[in-house]
Amino acid sequence: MGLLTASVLAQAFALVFDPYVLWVILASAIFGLFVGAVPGLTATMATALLVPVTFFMPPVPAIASIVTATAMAIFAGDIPSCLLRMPGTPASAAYTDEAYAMTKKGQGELALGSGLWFSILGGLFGTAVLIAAAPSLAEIALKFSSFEYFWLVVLGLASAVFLAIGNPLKGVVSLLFGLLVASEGLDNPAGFPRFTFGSAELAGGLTLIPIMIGMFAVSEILRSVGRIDEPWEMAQTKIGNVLHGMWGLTKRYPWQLLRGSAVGTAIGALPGAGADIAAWMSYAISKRFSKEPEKFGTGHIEGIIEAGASNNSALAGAWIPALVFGIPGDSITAIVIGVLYIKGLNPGPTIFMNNAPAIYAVFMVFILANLLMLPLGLAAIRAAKQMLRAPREVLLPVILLFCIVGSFAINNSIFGVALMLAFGIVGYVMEENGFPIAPAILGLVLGAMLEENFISSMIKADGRLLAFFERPIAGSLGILTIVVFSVPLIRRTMAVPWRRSEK
Amino acid sequence: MRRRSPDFWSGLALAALGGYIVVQARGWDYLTDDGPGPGFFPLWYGVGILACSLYLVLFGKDSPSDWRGAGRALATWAVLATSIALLKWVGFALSFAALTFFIVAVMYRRPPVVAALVALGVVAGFYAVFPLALGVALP
Repeated sequence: MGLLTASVLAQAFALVFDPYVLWVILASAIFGLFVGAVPGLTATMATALLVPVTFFMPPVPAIASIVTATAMAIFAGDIPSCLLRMPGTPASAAYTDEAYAMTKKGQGELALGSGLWFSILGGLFGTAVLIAAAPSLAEIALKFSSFEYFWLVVLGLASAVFLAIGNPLKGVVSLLFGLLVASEGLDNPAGFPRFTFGSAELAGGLTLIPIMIGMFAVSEILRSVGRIDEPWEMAQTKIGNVLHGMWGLTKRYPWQLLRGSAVGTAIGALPGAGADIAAWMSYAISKRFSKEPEKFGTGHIEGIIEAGASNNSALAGAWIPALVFGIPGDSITAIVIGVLYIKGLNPGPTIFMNNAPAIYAVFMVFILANLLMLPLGLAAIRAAKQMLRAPREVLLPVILLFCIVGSFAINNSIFGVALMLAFGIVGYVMEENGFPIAPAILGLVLGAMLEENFISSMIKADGRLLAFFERPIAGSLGILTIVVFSVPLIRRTMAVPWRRSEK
Repeated sequence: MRRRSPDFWSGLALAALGGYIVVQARGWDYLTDDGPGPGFFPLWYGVGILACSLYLVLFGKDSPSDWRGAGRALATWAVLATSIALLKWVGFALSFAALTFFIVAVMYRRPPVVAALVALGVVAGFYAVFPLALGVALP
């Protein structure tokens, strides 16, 4: 397969370096930097808000706008971390205290500069892995049958639950809720109407994008309204040449950079686990293996380097399962998959055969977005104080109206707006009560795939469950899934006597 | 009366949902000649939700609640729902100008004149971008 010929590259190059596409990339970069820098607005929300705009674009600029905006947003989330002690996006939460402590110590420039520099390097690392791994993996995936796909889906669902931050039980509930919503309508192997209440619109099944806009964007707006009273107090810091000393840091902490980028890409590639979990894990790993762990929490740069590289590399990592299997690596790619279908770039192993120029163009956009982050990121840091003063009372209604227009534009139907409204409150109630949203979204995206592949496999195997383990890859994936399910249970069982003896 | 934890109430709500799903799914074929029927997956989802809800009701942990913030969020949602319901009768401009006015004037406590100007500007901006520039119909 591969299909990376000179002709494909030339076509991809022409697709990206078109003035219209370059203009879209620049505009979405500025949009992403703004959304990322404003606390309460997330990279996922940036993606959801871009959806209505992407409807009217050809496939490559549509996807390019999402790639660029999210890369910029994840970096820009570091800016309020340094200046306000508030993460701009959840991906910066892991090292917000560290970055703010550096600013308070008079090292704000260093914290902001390393946020930018190591985001770029991490993003480029993740992109390199995406370019190398996705086509090779697609070649293997061509041989997959319903058995392998079934296990892949179950493995993805399992990792979404066990990697979710917080209570795993609530992760399971969230996942089951998503699967349940996905089972609604006539679109099931039996063609049987489920939970339709006699409504023709419900019989058609629930459209994903309005649900995601509701759960990610509307719920976030409701949370922001709930926190109106929280004041933003900006730390004072001089902002000059923030890149000064970055080369020295790169030479001093090369392993932290590589490890953060590698862990970030791997975590990103796991379904349901995105940039925020990657950053938390990398920060913890950095502290665990540091020669100066006692300095963590006091304004030490090491954890910022590792976790900062990790969260940006996770973005590209999440695209690997999304493109190759149609399984989202994070909440951003869950929305992207919907956009890919709308644009006729149906994800799956054949995407590299049927749409090679467009996919390589997307890879080029990843590289371009990370390179563009340097000048635009520097400008964003300089304009940070102005961006953080943006009136929230104007921003919130504008975002809300974007959500409404986006949900309406999918089918030009008010039903989409009603879905957004209903799932907006569901998402708000879930998050306020500690139920993570990501597993629900994954369940929603993968529910139909789970059911179809299970039923096809059962029919092929004539009801024999052992057939799920008979093919080599299916068997390995099955065992891996069982291990993923068992490890937390074993750890919990072993931890109880240990805790008792400690008392 | 002892104050119940938010997990307890979440568990009760989930138990109701799980119970409803199980009752519905039991009315559908669980297994057919061709394999699992339309009731197979929903039944297990319902059973899973019921089991988890039981755990939450019995062992759920207490957590602090920001009732004031929740009240504001729910009020905003209710006004959003009303403006969407009114769309058909009063149109996009009026219903969403009213929504914006509510958020700015009531939630952010800005002067009514400022709120009216923001509402007008936002709705005009959306008309300029979507129907005029992009040729996209608004709800």
